[in-house]
Amino acid sequence: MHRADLIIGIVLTLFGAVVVRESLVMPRFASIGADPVTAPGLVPGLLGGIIGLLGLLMAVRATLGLRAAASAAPTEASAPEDADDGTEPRYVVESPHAGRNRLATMLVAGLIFAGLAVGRLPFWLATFLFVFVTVALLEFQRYGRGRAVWQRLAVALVIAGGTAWAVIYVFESIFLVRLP
Amino acid sequence: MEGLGYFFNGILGFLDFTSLWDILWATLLGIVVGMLPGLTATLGVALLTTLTFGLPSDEAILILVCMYVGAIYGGSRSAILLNIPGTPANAATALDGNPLARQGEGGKAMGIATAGSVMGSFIGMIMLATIAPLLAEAALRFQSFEFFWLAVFGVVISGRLTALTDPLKGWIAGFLGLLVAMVGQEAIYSYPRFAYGDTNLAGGFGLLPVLVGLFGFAEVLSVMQQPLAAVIKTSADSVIPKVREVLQYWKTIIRSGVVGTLMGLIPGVGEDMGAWASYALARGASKEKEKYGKGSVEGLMAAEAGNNAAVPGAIIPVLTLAVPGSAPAAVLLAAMFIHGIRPGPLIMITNPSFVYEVTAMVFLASAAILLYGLLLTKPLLLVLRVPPSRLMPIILVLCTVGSFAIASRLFDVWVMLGFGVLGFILRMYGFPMAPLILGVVLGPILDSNLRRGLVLSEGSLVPFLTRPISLALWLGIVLTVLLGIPPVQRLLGRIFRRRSRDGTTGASS
Repeated sequence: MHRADLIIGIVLTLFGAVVVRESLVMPRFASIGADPVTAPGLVPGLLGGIIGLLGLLMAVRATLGLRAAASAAPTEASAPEDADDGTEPRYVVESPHAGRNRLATMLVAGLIFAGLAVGRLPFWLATFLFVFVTVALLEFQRYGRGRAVWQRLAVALVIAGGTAWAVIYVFESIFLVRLP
Repeated sequence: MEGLGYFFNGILGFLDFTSLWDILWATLLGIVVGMLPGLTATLGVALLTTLTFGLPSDEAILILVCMYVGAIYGGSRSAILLNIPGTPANAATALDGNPLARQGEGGKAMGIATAGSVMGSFIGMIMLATIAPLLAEAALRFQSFEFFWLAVFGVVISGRLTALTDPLKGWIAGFLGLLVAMVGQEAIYSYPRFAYGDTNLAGGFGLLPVLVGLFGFAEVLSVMQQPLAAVIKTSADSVIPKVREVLQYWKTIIRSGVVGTLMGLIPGVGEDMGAWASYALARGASKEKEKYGKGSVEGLMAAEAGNNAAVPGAIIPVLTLAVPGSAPAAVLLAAMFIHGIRPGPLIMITNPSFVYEVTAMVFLASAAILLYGLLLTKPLLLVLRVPPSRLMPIILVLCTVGSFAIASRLFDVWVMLGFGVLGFILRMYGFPMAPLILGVVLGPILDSNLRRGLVLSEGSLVPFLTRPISLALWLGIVLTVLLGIPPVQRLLGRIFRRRSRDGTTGASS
């Protein structure tokens, strides 16, 4: 965590400095007799400064933590705790990369759907394609080889078709909401 | 007495077919949203805000309040049966609810959670009706100086209390939120800050797309990354609690209701802390401390009464100061503005019946959760069997529609995506979301009131520091910051330990 905190701290410090600089170049409307304390850059500049300082503090703290961790003598690993002591949620046993794969699938599919397809394709079509592809991919990841291909595709087809129909019907017909 | 009249009028006004139907479906939807890990009360209220903005204002706010109350209650189901809180507010519920379920008393645990939630809501509701008018009257004395400090106080205290182990990250999140609110045209000269010639950026980031991103897309990504929860086994015992079993903890219920409401009242702190504070106090005062964490009925009741009492608690500052007590309350505030309701210190002058109408809404939503808790608990558990891999893509579709619907701008969909990814990263590294959201809401208040205050004082900071309420607020901020600094905490700890040791020695000698 110290290493991540150090990087985030440095990023925030630089970000704060950029915000302060951008705030300083904002107009102050002195030509129309504006009071300097009403300048548009005042509050963003203050906020940028505070964020930069807090980021710096975080980076310094992380550096001290890293040094302390490096200088500390390696200690013996503590005895593993009882894994089934009844206090942890019960999870399905799966491969170590399963979570990362699901995350990558959803992130890429989600960005393509909402960032690119929406507005270019009819909304029902974009929704259908996104839900079908995502559910199908996740079904394949979820069941490994345990289920027939047609079953997984059928599940995805039913969910995608149902979602596309329901979204259009519920939003446009019942709640009179405009869709992308 | 006038308030009581408004309250009963409010209830009578909602006793028509449309309102009762709205109460039933919105509360049920809220319970389902709350039950599903990954769907929070904030997201539920945000998505329903976009759905209901074409409805009359009282009907829309009724639906949103029912969703809010229902979701905070619904989260207890998955906390009890899966040990995974449905919403962050139900984390304390899992501590005793899940052990009870493991002992074969899942039904009893859900019944106790229902009783605790309903009674917590009722206590919060009474406090809403009594405190809100008083706070509104006090807030009439607020000027720019006080509103500026209130905004800073909100961000600082929210950052402190939502990131207890690392307040620095809570404060960074809060100030980032304030900065997000700076993008777009400012209020005095209409100068488009950080817009770089882009008309979309000149319009600023809408609160709802930001919220839907932080609590929707970010949550969808988090759920995908987490391991899959095992399929639950429901218990066969009754979900209807014994009256004696509930009433024997009446002191705990009242204490938790009051504490939960007060935690809800603090800007940006909300239901999570309502539950934790109630739980900690109940444990401290309990005669059966040893049962806590192992299936204590009292602990479960304290947590649920605390988080549900925080709902009306969080609505109090929304109505009287236009400052949200929690993230879902921030959406409720935005929804009120969308519907032309102007919450704030003038609410008791311009719209005195509204506070009591909202109280009546909380009452009716609580009655609905009691009904569902007694009748529909077991059928509703089927919802928990839906695998997230089939549900989350649908949630993202709803997030897309929700962020687009208010202003019909594709830019808002991109904002949702951007803040979703940002929120996911920030959360992964321990930054809380509540102060960020509070910052987005409070940003314009801080900005306009600081500059207006400086104009009024002709550039002097003296009124900011010396007016009585301002003084109390900035001293509170300084104290909160100091108590969040580890060396100061250690120093205070050492002083208190030495004093108590001296006291003990003195007493024994």
